[in-house]
Amino acid sequence: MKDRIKKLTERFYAFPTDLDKRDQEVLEGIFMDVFANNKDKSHVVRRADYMETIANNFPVRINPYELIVGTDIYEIPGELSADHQVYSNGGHYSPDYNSMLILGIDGLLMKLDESKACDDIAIENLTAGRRVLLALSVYIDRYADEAEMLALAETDILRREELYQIRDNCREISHDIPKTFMQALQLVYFIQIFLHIEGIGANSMSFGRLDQFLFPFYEFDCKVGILDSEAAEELLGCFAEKISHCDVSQNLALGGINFDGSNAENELTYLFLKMMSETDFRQPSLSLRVTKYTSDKVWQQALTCVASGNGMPSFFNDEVVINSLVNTGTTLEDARNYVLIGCYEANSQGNTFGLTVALGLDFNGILLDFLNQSHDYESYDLFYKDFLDFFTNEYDHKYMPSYQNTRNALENLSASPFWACLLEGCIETGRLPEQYGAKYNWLGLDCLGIGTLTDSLYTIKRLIYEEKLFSLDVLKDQLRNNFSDDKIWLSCRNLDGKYGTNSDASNKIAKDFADYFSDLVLSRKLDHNVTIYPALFQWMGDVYASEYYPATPDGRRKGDRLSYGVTSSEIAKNVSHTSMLSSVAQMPLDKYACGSPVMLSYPPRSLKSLDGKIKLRHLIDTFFELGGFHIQLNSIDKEVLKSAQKEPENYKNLMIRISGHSNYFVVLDQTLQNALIERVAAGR
Amino acid sequence: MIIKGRIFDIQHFCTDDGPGIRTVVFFKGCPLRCIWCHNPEGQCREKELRFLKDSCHMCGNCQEICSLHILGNGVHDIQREHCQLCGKCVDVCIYEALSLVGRDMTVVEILEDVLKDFAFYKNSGGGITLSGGEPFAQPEFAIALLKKSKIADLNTCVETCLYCDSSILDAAMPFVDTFLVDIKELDFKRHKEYTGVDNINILSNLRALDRKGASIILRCPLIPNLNASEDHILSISDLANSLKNVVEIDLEPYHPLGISKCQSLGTVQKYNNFSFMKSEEMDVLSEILKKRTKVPVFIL
Repeated sequence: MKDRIKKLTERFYAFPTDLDKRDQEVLEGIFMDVFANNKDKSHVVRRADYMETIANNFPVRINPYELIVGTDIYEIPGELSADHQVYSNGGHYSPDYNSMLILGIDGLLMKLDESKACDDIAIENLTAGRRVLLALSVYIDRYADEAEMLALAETDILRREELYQIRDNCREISHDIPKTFMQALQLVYFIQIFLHIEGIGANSMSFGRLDQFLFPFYEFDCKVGILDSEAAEELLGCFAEKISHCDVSQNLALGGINFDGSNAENELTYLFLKMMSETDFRQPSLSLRVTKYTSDKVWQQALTCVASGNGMPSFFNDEVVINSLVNTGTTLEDARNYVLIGCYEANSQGNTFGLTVALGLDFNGILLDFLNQSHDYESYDLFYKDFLDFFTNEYDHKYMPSYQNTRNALENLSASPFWACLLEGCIETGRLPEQYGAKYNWLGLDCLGIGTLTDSLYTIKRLIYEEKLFSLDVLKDQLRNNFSDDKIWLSCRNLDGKYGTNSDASNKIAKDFADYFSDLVLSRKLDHNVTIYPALFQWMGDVYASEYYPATPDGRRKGDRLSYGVTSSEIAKNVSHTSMLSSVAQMPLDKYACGSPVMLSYPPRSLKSLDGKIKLRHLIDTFFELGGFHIQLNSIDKEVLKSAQKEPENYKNLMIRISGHSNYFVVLDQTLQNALIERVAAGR
Repeated sequence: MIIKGRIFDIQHFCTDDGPGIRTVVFFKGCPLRCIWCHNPEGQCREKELRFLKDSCHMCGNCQEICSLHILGNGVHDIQREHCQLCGKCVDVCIYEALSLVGRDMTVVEILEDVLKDFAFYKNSGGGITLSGGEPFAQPEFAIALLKKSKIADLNTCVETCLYCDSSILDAAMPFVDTFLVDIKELDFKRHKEYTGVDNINILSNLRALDRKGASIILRCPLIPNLNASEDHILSISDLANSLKNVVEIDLEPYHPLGISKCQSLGTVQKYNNFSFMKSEEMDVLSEILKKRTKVPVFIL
């Protein structure tokens, strides 16, 4: 690791310092000043006011050793924004960074001027967009000024040169297009800062295909001799340190194919993986798009990164992900340009308003509600038919109206004039993302517990209708009493052939239900033709819901976790890595573009040798060949995690993949730490 | 008549027992009695009653149907010497503290299970590994399973101590891609002391396999204070260097899990060492070995 990266890592671990805390206070002060007053103005105007004030007044600091500059990302606390009735735009999108890299700030301003939209709303929006772009320009110029001032006072000759370079970079990109790799990377970071300011508490703005956008700059710089791979890797490390101050996922999709189906992998695909293997930063959250073209070199580096223990990259199967987007309504070209949002939600880059965590649904909750009001049935088929009727009815009459309210609230309470400049469709129509300006208007529906639901249905089918061990009424009574009868409890809990054992019976139940559900969701639209697109996961739902979640028919008592993502329940028996992946792959994952994650724990010992790494590659490859959508891995010993719980000070850099992103184990709360230890012990 | 084999486990997704991703079928019964045995449930050819003390809730269900279970004062005692292995207590044990180790399966039943992972084998060059216990202690069944596995286009490995009649190996050889040969000890006397049998037959079988061109992986358990020594490592390297077809040497560090397995079966492990072999010690021994032979060395 380069000395600079070591120094930046030290600074990173010292965060937040008193200075950082002061900056946070300044930000909150500005927020209150702007939003406590001017309540008669529209949301979009106030949002522009806010960003202008920050650009002009927020402290500008350049830290020692930095090459990529800009403020760390601070959040406005939720209570504060709620007090002032200012709402987050929800984040979870991937803007079109590339248009800014190609056009520069001035070029984007011209694009705004050229918009043909001219009604009152459009004029207000475009004016706000102009103000925000100019504010960004001012903000970047302030960094150029600061760099110059520091350079004049700097005694170290080398650092002085670096500061002049930072000044020149900022001066260049405050209006014009970036000319070098370093300038491009710098501009991307400034964009990221502004997206976070605008989002007010929003997170998970994905970089998307950064290896693609940056590559022309990298290639050119290398050709003219001002950059080599080593220097580029150092710059990526500087970038990673900056964005790691924000602990929520900033996803970066590497590799994959181009819009025309050709291989998109390049040298930066590899360099991002290499940098993350060799540093201790938690961001960016790397995702690797796996295709038949993915080279041995990139595979090897990706596996080395997994072996380094940081839980990255997440692997995505291009073929299935692209199909899932086409099935949701994107064009093939756009689908091929997909990126990952937040954790594992697929969107086409730069043209989708698709708040991927907007909506939620709890499969098992609906099953329990159904059981509460159901009578007895003669057969499982009649039971299941009635369950689906109940489900559809609930969905249409209870859930859809609440989803419509969520979308309406976004339209009425949030405004994103800056994002609008980086989202295809918004400038042309003069409409904000919230006002359906984007080319694709979607909302993600995150569904919890498909594994537990499958096991519950399977248990009912087997024990009540096939083996007739007890009646549905007895089961309902047991569910109300958290399985007071151990015999019934264990006959449900220990039942063989559950989801994840690759048995035909449970595979079919899972597949049939997943088919039914995606068809249900994709066949409905919200107003303005908004598509709801389903996901088979709910972030952290498996961990935090368990404490209060009542018993389920699969023998899960209150306190046991629900199943994670699209994987099997932790209480299901006789589940191996291969059996689980085989079960998962039989699901219609190409109808779940919003994500169907799989988490596996892989013993670190097995990844030490090249041979071991190759076996993991074969495991992933085969899973994808069978139809998998996504897989992520932790390679960490549970004993190490336990030691870290006892002596956190010695494990500051111990990273673990939690869900769609990694974080330092010692900063997590106890509930989550314990859940992760148990999950690793169970091989998930 | 359809022959059946006695199996005590089938484990999917094994990555340490031959090339690629594999499923391991564990045969019950072994002619050796290694004092440190890692899989003691594989020793006895008969089925066995396993009792996991920690899973027992003292509910008394077993006592009600069988007088050999005696519960009282927080202790669950089993009069194993009179047990007929009828399995009735297992059926009523809802907490799964009681179970029968060993089930009789046909070749087709086993392959049906094994072939569920076929796609994983194909991509990784993996397949089926027969282990145990000692697969060649059930020669007819082992060979039938290997033969059918080859027909099903699987890569085949057999983990064996080679303590068997050489004719069995000759019959099996056409259907085995790699032999994983356990080398416990090379000194004649100590071998007898540690395993209960001498190694004359083992070594002559090994040399015969090598001569006939079988691909061989040497699997060497290293046991603290017994054979985890430089001397033993040097003997292994001499052995490997004297053979033509050894493709790999796997060093297996001792672990104490066999002790609790013995307890659950009502038997006693002779080698009573509760500590795991240290990984630094393994590294030192493997480095010594690597210097003495060109054969690739792995620590499992």
